[in-house]
Amino acid sequence: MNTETLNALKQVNTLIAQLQDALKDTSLTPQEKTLIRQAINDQMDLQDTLIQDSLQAMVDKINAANADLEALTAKMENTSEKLGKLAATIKKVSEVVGTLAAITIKAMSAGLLGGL
Amino acid sequence: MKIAPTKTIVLALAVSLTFTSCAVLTDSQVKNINAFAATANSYSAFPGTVVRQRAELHLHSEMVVASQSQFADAEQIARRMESARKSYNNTVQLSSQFDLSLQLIQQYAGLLTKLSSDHYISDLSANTTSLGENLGNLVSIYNSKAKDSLPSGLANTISKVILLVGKQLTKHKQTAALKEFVLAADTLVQVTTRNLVTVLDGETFTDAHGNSFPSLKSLLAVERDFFIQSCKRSVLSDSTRTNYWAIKFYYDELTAHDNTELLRQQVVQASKSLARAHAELAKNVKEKKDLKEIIQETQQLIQDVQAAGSAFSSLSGLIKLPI
Repeated sequence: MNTETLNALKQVNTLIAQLQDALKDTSLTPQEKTLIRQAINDQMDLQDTLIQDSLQAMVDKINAANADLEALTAKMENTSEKLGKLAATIKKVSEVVGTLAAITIKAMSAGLLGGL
Repeated sequence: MKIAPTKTIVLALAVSLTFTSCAVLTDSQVKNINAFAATANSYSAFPGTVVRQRAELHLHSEMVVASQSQFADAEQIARRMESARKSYNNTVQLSSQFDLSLQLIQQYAGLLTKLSSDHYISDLSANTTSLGENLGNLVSIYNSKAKDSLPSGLANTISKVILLVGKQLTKHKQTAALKEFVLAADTLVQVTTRNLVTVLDGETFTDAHGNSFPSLKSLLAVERDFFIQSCKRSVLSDSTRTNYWAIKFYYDELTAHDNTELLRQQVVQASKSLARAHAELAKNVKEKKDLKEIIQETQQLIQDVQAAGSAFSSLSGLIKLPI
């Protein structure tokens, strides 16, 4: 089904204008005036509904790829964490080499590795 | 061949860097990712702002209709205002959802910045300083005891090798991840911005079920027409109500309608620029070319966003309540 909301909205607005004009007729009875006021209110409610439906359809369309974007950002967070771990591992290797050098210095100073 | 170890290390390092550098982004590419991210961060609130602005203008139109002298019926006016208030609140609530996808792109841009930053590498640089000192002491002690002395720069070289290999490995992983994400995100960014432009611009759009709805552009145009027709019937054609303030209200509201439309146009332009900038970024990341063009694109995007921001500021104070 293809509903033309824009045309419907334009028709509703035209109808409201006609009802507003009709309300100016001085020969109307109080009952007729009340009926026209109710009709204006009903049309205004319909106008609000059409606008809300349109806005909701816009939101649905704009956010169509949100689930995929969320999955991508989650993956990026995960990768960032892994990169941090990699840097930490490299840091540890560097520390181990540094510690080994320090131990060797102490051993050489103490004469334990003196026979070079 | 006593100095061979140093030369071997340097050679191995050079070979290692040569191979890994094939998969490393240039500094300008990394800078451009940061520039894109910074631009995206200053972007997101506008579509929701346009929708909220339209909701406020519509509320005023409802008040204009209810204020028609012949409409004067306490019960009917109360009913109209209750419906108008409900509709306004619903729209304001819905308006935040117009920004969700852009907020996700913003989040993605923030993660791009994080992934392209050099903080992983700078952490490593700090560590190798103490390593270099320890190795330097070790070489000095060795030379004082051994007959064949080691080259004085050996400690520094080993320290640099560890630093460079560590940096290169991290940069390589960083680059591979960035390339993968930028290319994967491009489709999503293009789809999202295209959908955004579709619902904001043009005349109508269709949903997943084939139903046709007015675009925001059409809604604003219809809203403006409705305000004019209502104001003419309720206020301007009523001699008891036509005065300077009524005319000023009419004029100010029309200006507000025009400014809202202007803001919508700028949001559309910014969306298109964002899509173009990301497409260029993806293309350049893929092709590993100089990014002068993408820098220009990004600069254009920044100008667009700044222009949109100025337009938004000019709106404040223009919307007046109906008399």
